Amino acid sequence: MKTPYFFDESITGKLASSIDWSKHSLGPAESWPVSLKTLLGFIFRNNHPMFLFWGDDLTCFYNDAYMPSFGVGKHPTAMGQKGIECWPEIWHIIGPQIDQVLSTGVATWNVNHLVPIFRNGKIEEVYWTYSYSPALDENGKRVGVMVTCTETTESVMAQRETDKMKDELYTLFQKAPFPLAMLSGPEHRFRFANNMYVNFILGDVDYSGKSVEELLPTAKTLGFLDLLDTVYKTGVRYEAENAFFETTVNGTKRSFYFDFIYEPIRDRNGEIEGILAAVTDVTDHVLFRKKLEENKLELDKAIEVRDDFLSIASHELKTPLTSLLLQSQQHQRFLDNKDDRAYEKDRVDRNAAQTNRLGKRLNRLVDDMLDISRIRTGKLSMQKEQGSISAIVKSVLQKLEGQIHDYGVKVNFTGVEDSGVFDPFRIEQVITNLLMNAFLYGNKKPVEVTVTEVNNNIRCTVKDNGIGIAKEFHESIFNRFERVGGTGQVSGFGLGLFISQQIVNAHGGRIWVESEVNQGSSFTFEIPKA
Amino acid sequence: MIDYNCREEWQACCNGFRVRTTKRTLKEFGPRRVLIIDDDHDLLMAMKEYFELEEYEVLLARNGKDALDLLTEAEEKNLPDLIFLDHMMPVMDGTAFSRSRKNVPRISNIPVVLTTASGKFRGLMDEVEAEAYLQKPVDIDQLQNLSIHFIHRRLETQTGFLV
Repeated sequence: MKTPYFFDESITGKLASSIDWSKHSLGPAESWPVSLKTLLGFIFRNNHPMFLFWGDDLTCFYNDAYMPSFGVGKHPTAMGQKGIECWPEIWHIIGPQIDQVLSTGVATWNVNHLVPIFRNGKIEEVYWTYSYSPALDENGKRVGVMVTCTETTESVMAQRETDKMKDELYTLFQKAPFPLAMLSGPEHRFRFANNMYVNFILGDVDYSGKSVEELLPTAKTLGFLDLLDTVYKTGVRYEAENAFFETTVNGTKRSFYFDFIYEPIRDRNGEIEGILAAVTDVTDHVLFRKKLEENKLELDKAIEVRDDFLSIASHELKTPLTSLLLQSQQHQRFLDNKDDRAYEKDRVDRNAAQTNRLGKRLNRLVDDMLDISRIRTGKLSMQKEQGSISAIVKSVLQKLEGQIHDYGVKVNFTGVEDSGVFDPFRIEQVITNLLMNAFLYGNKKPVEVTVTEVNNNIRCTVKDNGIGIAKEFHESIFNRFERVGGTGQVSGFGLGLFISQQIVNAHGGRIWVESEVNQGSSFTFEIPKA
Repeated sequence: MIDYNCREEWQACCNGFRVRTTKRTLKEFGPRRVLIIDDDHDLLMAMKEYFELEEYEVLLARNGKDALDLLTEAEEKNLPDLIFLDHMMPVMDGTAFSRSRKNVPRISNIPVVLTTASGKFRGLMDEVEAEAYLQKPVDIDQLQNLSIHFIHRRLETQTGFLV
C-alpha cells in the first residue's frame, strides 16, 4: 500500500503510517478530512515540537521534534492514542485548557509553565512555554487543539540557579565585613549598599537610586566624585590607601580614614554600567600611626633640646669653675711649697670673697637650669605680693655695684614710685638679667633704667648704648638657648632672656626689644599692676 | 704631667719627639707679658692673679674688639708674648678677632692659645688659628706648661739664642 502523502519519512511519520487506522475511531487514513491531512503534513515536516489533539477522542499526533519531551515512556504508544489515555497524570491540567480552546476558539499562551509529566520512569518536573490553538476542519468547526510547545526546563533551571546565585551574592555582599556599595550610571546612583556601608557612611536614608553627590556632598569637595567619574570613563580600577573622608552620619559629623577600591562594573556588552565601591575603615590605624609619628617628633625635639641644653649648661658652668679651680690650685701650690703667701690676709680675704661669689654664681646657673626645667614642665609658679619695681631696681643696682665698677659703666636710674602685685623674686631676676646684658653688650657707655606707669601697667626699660641687635634677631633672642650672631657680632646670650620672657608672660605682661646695630638696645618689660 | 693639648706636640709625636714637662718656671724668662681675652670677669681675674704671681704683666680684654683696640694702640715693646683667647664672646668673638688680627703684621705672629668650654676644640682651633688649646675648667699645671712652652719658643725666635 502506498504511504499517504501527509506521512513522511520521519520517525513519527513512519510510525503514524504503520498504524492500522482502519481499526481506529478516525477510520482509514485515506478517509481523513483534508484539514487533518494538511495539518499532519505540516506537523511531521516541522522541526518545532508540535502535538495535535484531533477529533472526539482527542487522538494524539506528534512529530520527531516533540519526541525528546516524552523522555522514555510515552513514545511510541502515544501516537494515535486517546488524549486522556496518553496524559492521565496531567489531564486535570490540560483537559480544561483543551476544552476552553475548543469552546472559545481563543488560543492560550503559557510561559515557563510547570507541567510535570511521566517520563524516564517517574513524574518529572518539566517546564514549558506552550500555546494551545484551535484546529479547524474544512467547515471551520473546531475539532482539535494544536499544541506548539518548547520545553524550557533547562532555561528555567538555569534562571533558578542564577536567582539562587544572586541571592547568595546579595547575602555575601550584605554580610561582607566591610562597607560595600554598588553604583550605577554616570551619576553614580546607589543601586545597593550593604549594612556596613549604610551604618558607616550613609546613615539611615533611602539611598536607592539617589546619587553620590546627593547623599554625600563632601564626596565632591574631597575629590571622590572626580575619581568616580574617572573610573566610570576610563574603566580602570582605582585603589587608594589612607584616604580621608568627612561626612554627617545620622546627624553626627564623622571623619575617618579608609582604604578603598573603585571597581568598574561592565554589562554583557563590556560597557561600563557602574562602579563597585569597597571600603576598609583604617581610622584607628592611621590615628595610631599619626600619634606615633607625632610622639617621635616630640621625642626627637626633646632630645635635641636636651642636648643643646646640656651643651650650653656645661659651657656656662665650666667658666666659673675655671676661676674657682685656678684660685684653689694656686692656693694649693702655695701650701705645697710652704709659701707664706698662702696666709696673706689680703689674699685670703679676696679668695674667700671670690669663692663665695663664684659659688653663688654657680648656684644661680643651676637655678636657671631648674627654671628652664620648670618652664618646660609648666611648673614655674609665681608668688605674688604687693611691691614696687622702682624699689627692686634700686636694690638690684646696689647688689650689682661691684659689677658696675668692674665693667666701668655708669647707670642712670629714673623711676616713679610705682606699686603693683607681682613676684618680687622673679621680677628681680628679670631686672638683673637685663642689667647684666646691658653691662656685657653696652660698650662701657652709660646705661639708662627707667620705671614708669603706663595706663594700668608698670613699665621698666633698660637701655644701653652698645653694639645693638640686628632686627632679624629681635624675636629669636627670647628663644631658649638662642645666641645671636655667629658672625662675630654678638654672642653669649644664654638662658636669661628666655627665662625673663617666661616670667613676664606668667605675670600677664610682655617683654620686647628695640634696637639697631651700633645704636644700642632698649629692653622693656611691662606687667599689669594687679 | 705631659699634656699641652698642643698642636705642636701632635706633630712632634709623629717625629718621635715629645715635649717634656719642665722644671723651669715662668719667672725664669723675666718679666713677660700675656693678654687674656674672655667675657667672663671672674675668669679674667683668676688668670690675672696667676700670672701676676709669676711677676708677669697681664693685659685684659672683655672681647675681641677691646683686645684689638688694645693691641693696635700698644707700643711695639708693650705687645704681649702670648694670647689666651676665648671663643664665645659678645661684640666680637674669637673667630672675628683672629680674622682682624691677620691684617696687623706686628700682632699676627703672637701665639694664641684657645680657652674654651666647648668639646669641639679642634674645629675651633682652626677657626681662631690657635696653636694650642686649654679646655675649661683650666688646669693650673697645663696653664703653666703651655705658657712656658710658648714663652720659651718666642724668646728663642726673638733672640736667636737658646735660652
